[in-house]
Amino acid sequence: MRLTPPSAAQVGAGALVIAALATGRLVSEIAPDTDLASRPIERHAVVGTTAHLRWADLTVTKVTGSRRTSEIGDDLSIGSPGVWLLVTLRMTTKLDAQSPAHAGIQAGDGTEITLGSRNRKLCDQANPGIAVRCAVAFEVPPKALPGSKLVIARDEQQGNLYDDEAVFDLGISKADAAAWAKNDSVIPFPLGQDK
Amino acid sequence: MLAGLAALSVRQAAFGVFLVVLLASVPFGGMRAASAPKVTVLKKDKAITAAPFKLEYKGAWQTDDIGDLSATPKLKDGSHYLIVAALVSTKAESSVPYSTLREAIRLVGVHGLTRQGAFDPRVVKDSRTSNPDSILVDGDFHTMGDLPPRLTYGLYWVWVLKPGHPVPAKLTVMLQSTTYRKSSLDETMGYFDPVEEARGTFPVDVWETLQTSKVDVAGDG
Repeated sequence: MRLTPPSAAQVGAGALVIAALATGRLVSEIAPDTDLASRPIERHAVVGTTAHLRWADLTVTKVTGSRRTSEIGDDLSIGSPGVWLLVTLRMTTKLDAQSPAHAGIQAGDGTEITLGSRNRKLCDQANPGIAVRCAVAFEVPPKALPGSKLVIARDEQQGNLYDDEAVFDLGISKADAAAWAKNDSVIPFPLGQDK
Repeated sequence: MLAGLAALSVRQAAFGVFLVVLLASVPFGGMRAASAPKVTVLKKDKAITAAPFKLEYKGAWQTDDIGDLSATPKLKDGSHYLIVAALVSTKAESSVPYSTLREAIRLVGVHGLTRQGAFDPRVVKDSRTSNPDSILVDGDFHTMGDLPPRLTYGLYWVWVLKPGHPVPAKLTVMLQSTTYRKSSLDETMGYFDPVEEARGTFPVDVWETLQTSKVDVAGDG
């Protein structure tokens, strides 16, 4: 096989391909940000008020903290180098008997704290229209507690695009954070039944 | 000129292009030997940054009885746990996944370790190093989860040595750093491209008491 100089048609086709790629790149750069369009719609609420979502109504009923927590049925308490932030919610689903998959903390210092094997979420399941309890526990640095917000979404963060999510200002003051950081009493997770 | 090019075979033409590109790259370092990444000497009680973590090695132990903990893998007769303790924290803006934490400390050259992490695509393709079976938290010995930002934990990286393999008198411990970037397969962000950051060899002590802390965690206040 020997090389032959490209024909004018071949050179033209190559130029067209390069021009098409350049045009595509330009369009993708000036088109609206898809991340912005697909971003979850935030429904803001505070402790005691209800966030009305497409798929559920959610209300934070209790917020507290301590350096130690424990799980029901587990004698071993779980300490934290920070503070265990414990939040209880009332949830009434609208569409189906589904509990939210995502919970996270937007801490007061701008960091985000996710669920894991230590940070936990426990939500009862019930048919639409029936209120159930939901509880979350997160380890948070005491300095990051004031101003912290709890985010609850139906799906994991990546799948939550185009849907809505609840963002609760937990109303934590510096005095709360300081008191919880000194509190060594074991607060069980989930917290006791609330009204 | 064009007639001369036409006389070249495809292989000759490709080799010619390669030579031209290589020569053109010389002023920009194309012929310079790639420098190996600098590996720090790991020392006990000295903090080292292995992105996204700050790690401080505290010790290494072996035992065949770590206690009745559901969090640890159960041992067959003749197996042993190898344990490395370290203080760890991160200044990342979001919790760092547990899987990244498992990659942060690896043992080098220990034969007979179980390979639970073999299916993790981010495991370094080096059969001589192994990531741990699990990571336990000092004090309560629960399994560690994602590492929250700006909290310091005392953690135990736990490996399992299969029966029939001698317990080493010394362990070579390797710290790895990773880069936070978008995945090349999708748009998700994650920690990729593990690189050796530090390495040290330490004696292995006998783990005596479960309830005794092996690390000293300074409070974060």
